[in-house]
Amino acid sequence: NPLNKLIYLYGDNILINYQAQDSIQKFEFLKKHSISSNLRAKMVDWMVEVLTSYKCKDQTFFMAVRLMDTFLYQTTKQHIPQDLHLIGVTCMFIANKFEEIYPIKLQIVHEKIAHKKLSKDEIRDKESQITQALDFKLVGTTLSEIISMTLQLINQHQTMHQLVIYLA
Amino acid sequence: MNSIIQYQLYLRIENDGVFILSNKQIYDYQFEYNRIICDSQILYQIKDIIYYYMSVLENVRYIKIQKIGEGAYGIIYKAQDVQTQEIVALKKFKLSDYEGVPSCALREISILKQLNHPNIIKLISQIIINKKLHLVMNYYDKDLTEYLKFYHEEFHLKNIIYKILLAVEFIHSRKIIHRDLQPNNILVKNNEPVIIDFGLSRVFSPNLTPGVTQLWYRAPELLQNCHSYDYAIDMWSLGCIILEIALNKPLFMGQSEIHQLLLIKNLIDGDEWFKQNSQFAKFNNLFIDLINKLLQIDPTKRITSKQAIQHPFFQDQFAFIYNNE
Repeated sequence: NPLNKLIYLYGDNILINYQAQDSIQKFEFLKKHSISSNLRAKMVDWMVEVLTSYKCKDQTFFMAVRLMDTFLYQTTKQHIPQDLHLIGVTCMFIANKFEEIYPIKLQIVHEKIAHKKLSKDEIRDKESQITQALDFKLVGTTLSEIISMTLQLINQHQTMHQLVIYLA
Repeated sequence: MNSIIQYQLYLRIENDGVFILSNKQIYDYQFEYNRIICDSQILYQIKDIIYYYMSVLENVRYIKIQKIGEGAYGIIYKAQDVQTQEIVALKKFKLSDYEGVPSCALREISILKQLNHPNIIKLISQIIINKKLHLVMNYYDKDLTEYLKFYHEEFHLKNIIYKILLAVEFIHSRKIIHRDLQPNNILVKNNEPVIIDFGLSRVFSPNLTPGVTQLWYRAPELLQNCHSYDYAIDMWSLGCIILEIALNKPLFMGQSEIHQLLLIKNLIDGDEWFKQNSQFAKFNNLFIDLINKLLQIDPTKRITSKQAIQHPFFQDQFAFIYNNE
């Protein structure tokens, strides 16, 4: 298993890096916007639904959520609940392009995921806004990666892995 | 902006040294630097005036001097920073209209942002010109292929090999695979190598596409269409590059994937392959040992970057590539 070998050799280094990247506390990112935590939870649920129906990797989902949270934390504008849809869709789109071998096309994002409620230009504009707000620092830690690495370190089974991912 | 200034800026320099006014946008304007210097002294003198006006204009920070390369994903220009007079490399991504920001650009920028190492290209900034994404990077004029065309001291060569390995180890310890290591993607300045082109690299993940790396440097498991590879593919490319440095010519020059596999199988046959080949007779034993560990057909037996930098070849400062007679 290549992942096993990788973690055996580089695990410590990677974890130290993750700690450094994650040292910026990102709590209370919803405070400056009028978006309730309930709404965010709904958005996350919907993301799971969409991304599983397109058979995306788990990492893609975790990354999309992380991008959304970091964007809300770093953005200077104040966002209202109606903006969240666009932000969520665009974050999924970016995460898809980053993680997947064959990312979902913008056409499909526009037609099937957003049900033509968002125009392609809106998505593209939001994409450049998000990438610039994050200063292109898209690589980062998610729970899933830490979990899979720690579990590999202590040599747990595949089912355990799935269970923990589900709980996360 | 004042219309008179703009009118003066939209000029184009033709071969015979005559200014012709054109409607081209200022950022698409290619400043043919060399030709101006050789053709006419007046044009050379006027260069500073043009630069001045260009810097007056908003958003014009870099002036393209000439095209230096073209890849599958973009075009690279040599350019000059108007504010600091510094020469930089501009990488323009081709396909950014339809799908938004191209995925290779997303990966390259975000990966470069977190790699800060003297032997890895530094991303100065990323800018959007004319709705196209451009990366601004340091400019180096020589790549490894051109560097090897001249004679170099052995300790320089050894230093380059070691520095490349250090940089690769740095990349790997950040959970990133480069996936396109080849001499054209290693630039050399003052005998120090710099790794560039992270357009194909990505963060490690269990399922990946096998169509990466230039054919000559592609690892055997990729040629056999394997979807779950790891860092070892970078180490294979490194093995090929290091031998290319020592032999001064590419090791495997396959024309197709099958041909490439055949060449590899022909050369690496059994454990003692390097002893049967007269090409390698002049090499130091430690060096041969390193190469042998890098060029293992089985990726699980291949040495990792971390082990490679601790290899005795680098520990022993008197061990050189070639045997001293």
